[in-house]
Amino acid sequence: MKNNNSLSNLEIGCITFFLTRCSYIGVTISLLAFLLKQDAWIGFLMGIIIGLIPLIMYLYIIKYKPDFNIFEIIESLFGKVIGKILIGIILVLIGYYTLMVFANVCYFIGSQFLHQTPIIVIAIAFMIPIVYGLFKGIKIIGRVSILLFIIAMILIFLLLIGLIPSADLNNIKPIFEHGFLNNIKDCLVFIFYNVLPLFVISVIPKDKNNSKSFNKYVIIFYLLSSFISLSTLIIILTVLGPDLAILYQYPEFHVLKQAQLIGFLNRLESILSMQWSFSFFITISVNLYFIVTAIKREVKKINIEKPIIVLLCLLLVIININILKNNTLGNEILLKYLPPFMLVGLLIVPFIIFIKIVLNSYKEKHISKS
Amino acid sequence: MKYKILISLILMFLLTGCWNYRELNEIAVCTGIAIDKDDKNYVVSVLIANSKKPEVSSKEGEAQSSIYVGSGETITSALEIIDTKIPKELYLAHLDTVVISKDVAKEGVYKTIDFLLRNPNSRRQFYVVVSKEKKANDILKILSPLESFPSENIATNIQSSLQVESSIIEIKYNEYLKTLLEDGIEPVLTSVSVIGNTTAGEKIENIEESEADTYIKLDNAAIFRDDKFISFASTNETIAINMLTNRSKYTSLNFKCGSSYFVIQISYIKTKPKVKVVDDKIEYTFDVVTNASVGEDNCNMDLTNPKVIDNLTNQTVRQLHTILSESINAFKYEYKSDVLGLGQILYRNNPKYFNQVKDKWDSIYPNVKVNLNIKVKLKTKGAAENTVRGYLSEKQ
Repeated sequence: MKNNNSLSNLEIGCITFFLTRCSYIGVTISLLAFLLKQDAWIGFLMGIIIGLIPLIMYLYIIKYKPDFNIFEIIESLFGKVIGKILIGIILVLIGYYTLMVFANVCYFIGSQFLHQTPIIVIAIAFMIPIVYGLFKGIKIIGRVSILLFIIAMILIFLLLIGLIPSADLNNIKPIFEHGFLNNIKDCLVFIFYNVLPLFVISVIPKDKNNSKSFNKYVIIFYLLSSFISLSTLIIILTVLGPDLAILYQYPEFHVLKQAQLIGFLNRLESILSMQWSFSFFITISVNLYFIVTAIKREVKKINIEKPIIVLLCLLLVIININILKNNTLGNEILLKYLPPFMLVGLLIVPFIIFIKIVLNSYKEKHISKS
Repeated sequence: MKYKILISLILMFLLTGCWNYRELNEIAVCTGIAIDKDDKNYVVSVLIANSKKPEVSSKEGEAQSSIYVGSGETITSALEIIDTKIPKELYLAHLDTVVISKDVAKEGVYKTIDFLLRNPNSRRQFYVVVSKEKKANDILKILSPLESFPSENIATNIQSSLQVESSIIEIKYNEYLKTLLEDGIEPVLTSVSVIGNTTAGEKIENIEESEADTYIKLDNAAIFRDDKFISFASTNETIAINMLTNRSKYTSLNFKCGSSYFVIQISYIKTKPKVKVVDDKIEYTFDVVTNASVGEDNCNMDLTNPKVIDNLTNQTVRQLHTILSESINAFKYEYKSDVLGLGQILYRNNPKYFNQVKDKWDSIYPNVKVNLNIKVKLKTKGAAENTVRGYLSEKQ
């Protein structure tokens, strides 16, 4: 990997866009539909609003020392020993989440597109561009994310106009059947899977010249991604209905089979679903960059970036093939065991960091006044 | 540089879907499936669209359809038997129609089509129809002069018929599943029958005549309860289902006058259901708004007289009221099947009350009150101002 080149705010914004969208395939939408049925879109909307809280907390942490990445910030706040423990917790969690995302994409492609192709072939085919991208560096991933963002927006636009005529608003009635409190409780699904993973942007080197608009870009792209995902969820509920959305594995893909453009273009699901593979690619790449940066910090003198990247990717493939043997097991781990880990690693730990920064800032102000 | 070329080459082979690549001549494109049952086994017939029969083709190499039959304990095992009979791999992504026999429908439809729910090739955009014949297989054999394949004939017939009238139901597999899964509504399907001799209909001579002796005809709705087939509805009942569930916008009504008839054509139907619960008594009101026009006047009515138009409007309202109310009573008392989705309407408007009564909905449903509030706007008389006879008598 080349030396870190800073990414522009637009590049980080596009990365944020894809990071937010990644888990909505096969995870957030299916889970929300199961929990809230026709009110899933309300839970999603609440999740978008409440999700701003952890996001703003992350941005506050990033802004504490703009020249430092998150590992340097943690060690400067807590010292080397406790800092390394906290970093270790976060790294394990990010690695766990990356494994789940990778397993999700392999199951999705293996069950809906290439059902006769061995999973290992899909896994290797997906890993090769990720390895190559990581070899080239985060700057290249940033530039690629802009291109993919443009293509994704075109595909999303086509998806929406192809499905809106089939929507029946009666399918989302009655509204608020499950009550306000249940919607609040279940909106945590969106926060766990779509907002907390945004913590990885704390490792990306930022453009110091435009640091003032960094927060604005991240929030705007987060909201853009979330509202696009929300509109897709509404389309799924209004076209398929909540019961079919629960029955189908990957209802977001099955609803695309009903998309029709200009009255005669159909069978577009394979093209329109390409935009999800962009999310998976960017998410896995950035997560692995996060882990590699942390390891590289510890082993400073030897140039081990590329071997670490290859090793991590091989580890992902091997665990995916051998341990997560079927998607029933994968779903159980993803839905049952991942959220508590996410809570600890990506909410409680950042919250501790946040509190420490606030206390430090208060002390510094107090000292400067006296 | 070398490793970049190597990676590019590897990616070229891995990312183009070459792993399970199949040529078009290696797959048997299946456009229709018929499911029957003998004593224990399912008898599955598949209609292959890309078979070649040069000895009967008018053009060399023109594709014709062929039917293969397999029998097994499950649909999957029956299809595997069929696979042993054909030299190609069955490909279900172009499925237009699935025909199920009455006997299979009586046992429950979802058991037979769970396979199509899971099969990754299946796009679930096909029609499911119930055969009025003894064997569903007979439906897929009847050749049509207007469409290349019998399955396509049924599918396009359903789509085009609904643009003109409401006596057939348009339900695709996804929608059938949806009504099956939802509480407070029972599914309906289209039925199809063979007019004429089935054996003659299989032969190419059938479509060489100017008037085919044997053809497939779409028929009235097949009514289900809990996924099991109950009965075929009448024409008026099918029209009522279409009108009250906003599935169709067109129908026509015939009114007798002496030995002749006049026809009112309805070209727009919008139904808004309302429900209220008072003292545990459930009352529905269907506000039906239609636009109509005079289709045929063989009764020599003076269509230039506004009072005649008002009279026609009132007659149309009365006729529609009779059709709809008799049908609603049939659904409640005869079929005992909530095909109109009254339970679903109650759920959407009053979910709390519906959740209290949904377990005993079957006993509550026949006792609900249904009011009809029908408005007909007789807007046009078609292209003619008056009847020909009327004009001639005026001239004299």
